[in-house]
Amino acid sequence: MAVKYNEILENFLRDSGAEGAVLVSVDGLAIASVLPSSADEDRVAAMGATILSLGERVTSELQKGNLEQLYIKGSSGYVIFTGVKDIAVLGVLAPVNAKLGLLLMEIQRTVKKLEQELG
Amino acid sequence: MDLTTINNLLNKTFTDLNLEFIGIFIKGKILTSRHIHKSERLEDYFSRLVEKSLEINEAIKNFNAEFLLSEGKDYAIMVYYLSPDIAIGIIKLGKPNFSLLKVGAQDLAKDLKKYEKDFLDHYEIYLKPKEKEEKQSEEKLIVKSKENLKEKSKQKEEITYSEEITELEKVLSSNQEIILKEETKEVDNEIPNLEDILNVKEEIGKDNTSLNDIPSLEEILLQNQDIQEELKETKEALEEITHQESVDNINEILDNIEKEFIKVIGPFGKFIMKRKKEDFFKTYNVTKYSVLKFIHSLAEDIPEAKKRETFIENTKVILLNL
Repeated sequence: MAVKYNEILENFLRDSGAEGAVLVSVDGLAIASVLPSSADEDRVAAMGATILSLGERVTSELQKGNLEQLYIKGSSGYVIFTGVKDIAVLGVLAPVNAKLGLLLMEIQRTVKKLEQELG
Repeated sequence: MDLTTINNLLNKTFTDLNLEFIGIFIKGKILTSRHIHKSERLEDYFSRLVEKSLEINEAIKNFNAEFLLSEGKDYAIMVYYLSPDIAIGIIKLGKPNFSLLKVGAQDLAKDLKKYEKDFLDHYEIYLKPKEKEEKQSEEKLIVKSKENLKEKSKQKEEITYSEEITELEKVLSSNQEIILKEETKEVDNEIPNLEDILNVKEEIGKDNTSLNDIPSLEEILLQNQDIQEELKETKEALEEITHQESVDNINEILDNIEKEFIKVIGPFGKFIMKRKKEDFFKTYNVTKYSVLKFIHSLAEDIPEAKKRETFIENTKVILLNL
């Protein structure tokens, strides 16, 4: 099963030019990951699940519904966290010169694939 | 640090960008904020979101977070990082405009940059969680007390060791003294005086009859022969007795085996036993091994396997007496 998710993530990296990706369960545990050595898988996974959940709480307080995506820009690139239904979070690491439009589109496609796989 | 100046700066950005909420966060704790609808829960969630997002710099090497953004159809949430510890949190309702928000946050960050040190000092004095401090101090106290205890126990151990060593030395030295005294006493007692030796010599010279009483070597050898003969006789007698005993013992064991055999096979077993015993012990001497073999030869005549096993088990117990 994890092999399948890894395959999806690897295909995503190939098509989008992202540096790494991690699929995280809502409780913050990595389901599958293809991350560079500079990233601490466990911490990225736990952080992604937590901040997406906190972001959702903020939007629900504002009565603005679900928070689907959240990204952090750093001097060395981007980290984009996207919710996959209510069951998982997809974290993507992209370089600073990544084409954001293309990247976001590929993320949406991958999320749909993952949603199908996760049922 | 003048909080009114900070608040004025916040107010300017708040009104310019038409925001729902703006706040300054130090290590995830809110310093000051402006909002349209006050909500403690919103501030709490937002604070935690800011605090957690700061971890990204530890999760990814050399990441240096600049800002966090989340946009929906009619809202935008932005966290702009002044430094790894200080951030500006912004919530905008309505159609999001990322560029405008970013420029507004950048301008505010430039104005606030000079207060960076003051913010951190303020955090240390007013915002730093007290529980942490207490915990830390408790931990420190625990560590200190543990160290003290260790040192004390070490000292104690050293003292007790040294005390024990001196006591042992004392005991050993006293023991040595006693032993030496006793040895010298014994030696003193054992060594006869020169006078005593001379007296003995004189006594031997006087008492010639006692010297004549000493038997010659031939006499001693003859006496020895007699003793050896006597010993031989007693040995033979003993052997006879033990042989008789062992024979009695074997007969008793064989009787018991016979009883067990009859129990299993019935009264006819007596005749089988008699015949087998005569045949078997014609060729074999009576030993523990031969009796065991005899038992097995008897067992061959028992048709039922279960009964055969019980017979062997019961007779083995009898054999232990052999």
